[in-house]
Amino acid sequence: MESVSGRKSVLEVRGLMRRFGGLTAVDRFDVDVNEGEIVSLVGPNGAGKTTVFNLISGVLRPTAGSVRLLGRELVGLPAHRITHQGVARTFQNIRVFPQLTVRENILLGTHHWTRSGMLGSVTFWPSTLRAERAAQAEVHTAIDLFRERLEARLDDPAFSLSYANRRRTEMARALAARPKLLLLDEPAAGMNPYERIEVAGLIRSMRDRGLTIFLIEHHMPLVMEISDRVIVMDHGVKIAEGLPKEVHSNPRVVEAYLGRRAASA
Amino acid sequence: MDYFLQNFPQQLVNGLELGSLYALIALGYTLIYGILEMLNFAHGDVYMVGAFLAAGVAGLLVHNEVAAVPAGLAVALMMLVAVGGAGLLGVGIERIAYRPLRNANRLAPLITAIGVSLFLESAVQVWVSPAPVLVPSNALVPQTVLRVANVVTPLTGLTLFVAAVALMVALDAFVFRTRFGSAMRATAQDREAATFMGIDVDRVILVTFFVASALAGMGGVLFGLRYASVDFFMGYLLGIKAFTAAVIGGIGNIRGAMVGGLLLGVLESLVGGFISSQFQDTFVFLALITVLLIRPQGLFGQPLTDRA
Amino acid sequence: MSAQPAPLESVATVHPLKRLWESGPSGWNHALTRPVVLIPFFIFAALVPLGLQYVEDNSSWTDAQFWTLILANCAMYACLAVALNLVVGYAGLLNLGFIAFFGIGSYAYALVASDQLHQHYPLWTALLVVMAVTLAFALLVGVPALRLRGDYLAIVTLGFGLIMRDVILDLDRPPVLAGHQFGPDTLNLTGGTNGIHQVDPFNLPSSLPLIGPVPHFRMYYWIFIGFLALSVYCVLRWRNSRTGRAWVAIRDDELAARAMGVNTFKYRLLAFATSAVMAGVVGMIDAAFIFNAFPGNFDVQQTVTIFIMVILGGLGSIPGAILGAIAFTVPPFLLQQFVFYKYLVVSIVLIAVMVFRPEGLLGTVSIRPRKTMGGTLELLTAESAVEASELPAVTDTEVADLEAAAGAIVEDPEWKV
Repeated sequence: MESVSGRKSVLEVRGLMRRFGGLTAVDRFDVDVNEGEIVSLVGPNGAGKTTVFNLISGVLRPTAGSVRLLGRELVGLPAHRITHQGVARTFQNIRVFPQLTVRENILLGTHHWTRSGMLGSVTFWPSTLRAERAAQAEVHTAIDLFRERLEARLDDPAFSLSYANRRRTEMARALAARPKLLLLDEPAAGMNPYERIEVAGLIRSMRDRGLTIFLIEHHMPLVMEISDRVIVMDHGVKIAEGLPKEVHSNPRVVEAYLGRRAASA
Repeated sequence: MDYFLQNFPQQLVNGLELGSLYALIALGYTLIYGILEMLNFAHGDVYMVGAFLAAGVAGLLVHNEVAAVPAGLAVALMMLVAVGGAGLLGVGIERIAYRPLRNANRLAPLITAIGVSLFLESAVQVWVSPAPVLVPSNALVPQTVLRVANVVTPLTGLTLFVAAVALMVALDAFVFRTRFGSAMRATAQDREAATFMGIDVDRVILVTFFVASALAGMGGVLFGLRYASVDFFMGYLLGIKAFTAAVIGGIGNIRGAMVGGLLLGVLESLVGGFISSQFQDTFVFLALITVLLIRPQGLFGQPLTDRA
Repeated sequence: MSAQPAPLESVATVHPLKRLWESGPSGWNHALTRPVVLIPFFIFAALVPLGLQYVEDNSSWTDAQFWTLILANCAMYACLAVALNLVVGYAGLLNLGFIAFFGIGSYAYALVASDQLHQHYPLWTALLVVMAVTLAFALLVGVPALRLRGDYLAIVTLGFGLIMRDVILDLDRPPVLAGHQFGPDTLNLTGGTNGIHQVDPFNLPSSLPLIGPVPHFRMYYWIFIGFLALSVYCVLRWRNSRTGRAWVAIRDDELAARAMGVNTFKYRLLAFATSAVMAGVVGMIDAAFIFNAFPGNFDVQQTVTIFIMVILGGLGSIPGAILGAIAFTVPPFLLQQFVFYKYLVVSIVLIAVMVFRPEGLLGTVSIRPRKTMGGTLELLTAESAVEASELPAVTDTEVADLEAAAGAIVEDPEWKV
């Protein structure tokens, strides 16, 4: 494993472990993600990948281990504080807020960095108004990457959106949180080839904007195409890590996938 | 201190009697929660209806303090009608009000349940009697009062306790030692998987509601015989206390409901006797909050998983 | 073969009313809560008693006062319904002890504005006291209870309501704990079953410029309407702010809300406390209105009645809450001989609405059973059909270009083992 020297470490995970009763879902998992990297986490179904994301983002508490974001320990913090520290994520099965409009969903992303309270809203307090305006401006920055796909749908409730648009909304929402680390859980799931191209381009654009990205993905060609590094998990354990080409030909990895084709969605 | 020691046994006995009633109702709450993960707010009112059914039968059979039929037969009839009627009521409520919402947002059946609760209370208030109805228990059961040392308890009270324990043992055997019981437990653990195993989940739920409501109905009869009076509001407060008992024991756990009921009854009685009878109910409420905050799984429940 | 996607139907060809109808409950709510609708509504509501007076003055009809009383009651329940809608409809919290806060407000005011404790605070001071006391109780219940899951919260609040009622009934004598009496024998805080009488009305002018003398009922009708307008304004402003978005997010998907940085406990507490304080203020106005504070203010049947108002009108909808309030205050007043059956009817309607149409008339919260995992019935509507075809048709040459540009991603190579 080569780490690029001189680059700041954004995410440092050591010895991460999660047990559910007798089952060890994640077993002493380590990873380093440096600034501006795109690191992919792959592995067969049930390998524990989403559990790793849940542990990092605070949805689950680790049984053991440490997660540091820019040096700050995240383990033990409630999920909403972890977001405030700079971690934003999307979910495997897309969790947009159905009764909120697209715009409101994305505005939710700005929640943790805007200061606007109840009293301010009813009294049109200047600082509240400024915060609202800043948040609204962020919406436009966030959907900027989607080439106006969402522009027309901004005031439609999220439940009425197509699958692809809901995914875009979720991503825009995560971007609006101005994260330092973006966790994408299967961003290309359920997409056709054209949409996948778009997703690849999106991820690269986000990186170009300074984001660090850690993603889970099943679609191998996509992973190979955009990742700086690939980590492979199986049964809760990291079994390989390295450049895409290296991992591709690693016999242990091949064995883990033996008999399975990389499913294209 | 002397006062305490002198009166403690009496309060304890009162508490056990009170607690056995709580336990009977708590069993129903816990059964329904185990199967459907739903708090049936209307359960206390099913108990009330059972009590009224028994009172009704008693009223028909007893004239001028004399039973028209042998007392034992009268009581048996009261029980039959109350238990059967309450059971059928429970099943009816499930069918009409809860089943359509089984897969909805989990708050939906709760809202419906308070509607059912209000309906039962209003229906009895309007169509039966807004005032308490007397139960002629003099004519039906011996009114002997047992006395051991300085502790008194009426025979009817002891009967309540014994009946509750017997029913709990029977229920325990039913749930843990019969085939249907294991179907119930399977459905409680994973409803979907139970259907895959060929279990008729609708029927299991139906039977569960019947049994839970029948137990409540029995509680109603025993209460009526013991206290000789029933009113349309009696199920409301009792329901909340029985729920507290179920939570203390561990909601979803049958043995827990029994232990929780007795424990709560004793604690309430002790508080009422030694601290304040005015604030007995407040104490129960505080107990509920405390348990939910400190050990939400109760005494015998499984630890709840991490919030997801 | 290239095909231009058919242009979307131009807006001009669809009648605006039809468009409004098709936009569904969220569209109707949006339309009904615009200032251009609300302001005339409140102006109209304020003018109604004057209209009634005019009719009475010019005809043999004498029921103006009766109707003003009904409307005042209606306005009061509308305020309560809007407050309940905030906590149940927006934040998704089942506060079954809601009416207790109304009761607390009425008693708090009665204690500082009557002979019970010989205190006679002026209006604004009393208001502060009422708000503070109600807030204190809301925090007392909310802080422990709001960490609990929805159904547990429901029963805890139900218990709270019941306990409050008992406490109010018992405090006409000094409390006795473990043999110790707290307070002198004459201590009578709440009047027990009788309640507190001769509560001071607000110190308000009995006649207004331009309008002339203002009878008691009319004044309080206007106060309730005024508070309703204030509540509606605040709730709408909150809904369209960071706070309201957080509330709906928590209601829709608490996990995702937390993942986006929302402190769910804090926001639940905000909704719970705000709705409680609103109810408390309404209680205060009521006590001043009827010069009394009664233990019946704590009856759970009242909570259920307000619930049915909100549910029938539609969870999450302010116009719905107001409509619901009208539906359940006007008919019972008119059908006085059937008032005995009131709660019977309320409960049957509640059950029926929950079973057949849980979203009520204008509701925007979908509590309906889900037919498919992760989808709601709305996904099957025509709108989505338009959605699916939004991808432009692609020509062969375009495909070739795409392939060239994107390399291996367009075509999936076999994952060679």
